[in-house]
Amino acid sequence: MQAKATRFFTNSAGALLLAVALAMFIANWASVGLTQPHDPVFMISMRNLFWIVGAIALVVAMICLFGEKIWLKITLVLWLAANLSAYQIGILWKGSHAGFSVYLNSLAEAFGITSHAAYLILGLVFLYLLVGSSASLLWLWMDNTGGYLKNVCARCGKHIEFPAQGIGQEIACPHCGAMVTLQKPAGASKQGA
Amino acid sequence: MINNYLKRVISNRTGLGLTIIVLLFVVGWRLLVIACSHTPPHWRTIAREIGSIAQFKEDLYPNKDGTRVVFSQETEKGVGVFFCDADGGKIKLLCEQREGGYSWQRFGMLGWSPDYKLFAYAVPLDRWLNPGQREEQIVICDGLSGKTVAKVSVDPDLTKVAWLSPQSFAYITYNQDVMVWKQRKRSGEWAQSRTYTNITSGRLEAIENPFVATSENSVAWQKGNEIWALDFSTSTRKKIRESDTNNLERFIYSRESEEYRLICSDDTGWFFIDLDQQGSVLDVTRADDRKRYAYLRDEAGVNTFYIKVKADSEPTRVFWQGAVEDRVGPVGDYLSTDKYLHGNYLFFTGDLPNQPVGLWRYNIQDGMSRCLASGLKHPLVRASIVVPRGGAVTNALGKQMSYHVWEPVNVQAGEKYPLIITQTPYVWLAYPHVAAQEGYYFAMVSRPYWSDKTIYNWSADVMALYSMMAKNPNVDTNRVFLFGSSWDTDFLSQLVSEKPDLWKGAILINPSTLLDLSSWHNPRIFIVAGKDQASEIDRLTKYQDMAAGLGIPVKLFLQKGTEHIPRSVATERERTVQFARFLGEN
Repeated sequence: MQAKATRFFTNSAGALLLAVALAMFIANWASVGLTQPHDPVFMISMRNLFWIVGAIALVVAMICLFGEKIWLKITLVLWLAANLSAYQIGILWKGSHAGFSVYLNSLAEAFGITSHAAYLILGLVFLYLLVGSSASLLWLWMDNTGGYLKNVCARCGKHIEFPAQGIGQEIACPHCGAMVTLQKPAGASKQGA
Repeated sequence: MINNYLKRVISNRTGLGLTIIVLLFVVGWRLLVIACSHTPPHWRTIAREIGSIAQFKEDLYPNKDGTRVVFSQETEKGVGVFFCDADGGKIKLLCEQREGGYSWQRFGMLGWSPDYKLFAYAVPLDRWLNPGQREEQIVICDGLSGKTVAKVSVDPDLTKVAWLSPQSFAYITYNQDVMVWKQRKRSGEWAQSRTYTNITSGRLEAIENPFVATSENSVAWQKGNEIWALDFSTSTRKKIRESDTNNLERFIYSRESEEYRLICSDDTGWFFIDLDQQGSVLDVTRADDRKRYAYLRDEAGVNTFYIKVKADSEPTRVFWQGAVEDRVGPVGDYLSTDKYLHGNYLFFTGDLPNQPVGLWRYNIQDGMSRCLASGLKHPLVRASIVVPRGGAVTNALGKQMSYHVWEPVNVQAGEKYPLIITQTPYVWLAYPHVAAQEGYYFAMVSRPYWSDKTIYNWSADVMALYSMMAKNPNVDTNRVFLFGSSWDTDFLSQLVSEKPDLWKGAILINPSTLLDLSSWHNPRIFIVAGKDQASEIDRLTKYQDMAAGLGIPVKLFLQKGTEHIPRSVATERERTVQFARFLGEN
């Protein structure tokens, strides 16, 4: 249950971040030649901010979709979501909250939506990432034994030992190379630690 | 390691599947937005084609009998000086100045020698004398073939040149220094012979003011309401005339009759004063009493040339169903084209319905017009030239003005179309043609010349046109955009402050004044300016940030490699495309 939920979250987070990154790149491409306003927090051009945030989101998305370490995935998502939450606080502090959607104008126009809708969609995405990553991390931490578990490879029948936080990952069997999804064994006993 | 990673990526079907789905979703959404936009399918091509029409710059210089003409026109990357055999139709590019780094005044044509065997033009070189100051060169060419016969390095502050004789010329600098150059008889080389410094106080007030040779040994120039002359043989300068009861617009000098002709205006209108060399008044005539003239009058939206070449004849009226470039300003309540009347020909740049801007020669004898050089360098494939509808409208002050309206192509009954409205001179502009092909009305009321005080009626004039256009059931009065360039934006700003609720947005080209946004509800604003003006970058980006702080999006296009006035086809095209994009989004 935990493995499935965690995997669903990391996959969905990866897909959403990939979509956000692509949207930002397309928005920059669609508005090429135009000067964008400076964002109210860092005072850098929104075009540059889109490149930076888009690149970071793309890296995190790739790790979420193709990485192995579940802890790393969720921690990165939480880090990114937390940073963007801090950015929101910065906007509030600067007093630009009422009109921030206008800074997303190039993004909105590229996808034929209003800038308010773009602001709302981005807000919901990062809220989901923040809540989801926080909950997943808490869940993993509470369930984390710190010990090792064992699975049996369905192809060669040999044992695979792995850390408990590796549940849900798909790895190549170290003996025969077949892809194995690591699962919590029924009635598993903690080892080591 | 990379192979292992790739293997893992490929073997991770979930991740790969999600990546493909997201890619298809985002890119598909974008493509759907492009496909469903209100802009015509080939808007970019249309804008590029119209924006690529090369405009004419500076001035044009026909020779005495009208068989040769030197003119400047935009090239792909700058402005070129062209020599045209008006009879044979051959055009030769003499030189090209790339846009970027050149101030627009530093490139010009200097005209024909008194015997019309030579002509000259000035170009800045890529050699720097001081930081920000390039070496300047006068190029002297053969008047029949256009071949270069001499190149003379001159003062970089050169502003005006006057031919004293076929073997000598003088020029004046911004600092009012006059240099005299002569061709050595034996070697044929050109050399500076004399210098007169600070011939009058201050800097030259207006680059348009005349500086003419009155003989082989004297020049005259205008400074405000005064005409001054400098005699090289005695090194003395003398005030020829000071007008204190009327405005001296400019003057010309006839070396054949040795007379000054002053073009003046007062409360009663426009008139000419003929003076002898000493400044004594010989004659005063009204505009229409002259022996030989050509002028242009905009009559209720139709340009009409009045051409008179014989003293005892009535002027010939020639209707020109298109725009004519305004290069010299008004004489009377119309534009004087006297200086373009050579032999039996009248030269001008303008456009005809269904044709882009071109250089024209009108034959007074047979009434035929011939396009010597077209602005169209490549055939139009997707775009078309939209024919405007002309007329007259009376403003709230009771003044009648001409207007032109470019209607959207394929207007459907019952459909509403947005409107762009402005007051600007009726000359060739790419914007109305692009707007009409994007489904916009583009309406302009003709703007008076700078010296006409009614130019301050900008708001009243535009409102009169707006009231007229608002009665058109096809005009969407909820989507009316103001359009203004340069100094016009000052007037436009007043109109926005007075009636902010009428306008959906504004299109500002090189604005001198930025709009007050405090009382304007969610407007759409598009600004174009040259990025080579450092002060503009700071001013406009701060304005954009301020507007964003108010929740107002300002589309800002800071164009690299250009200043206040665009000076290349590439620059004009890029502007037109961005303009078209803005229209498509609104």
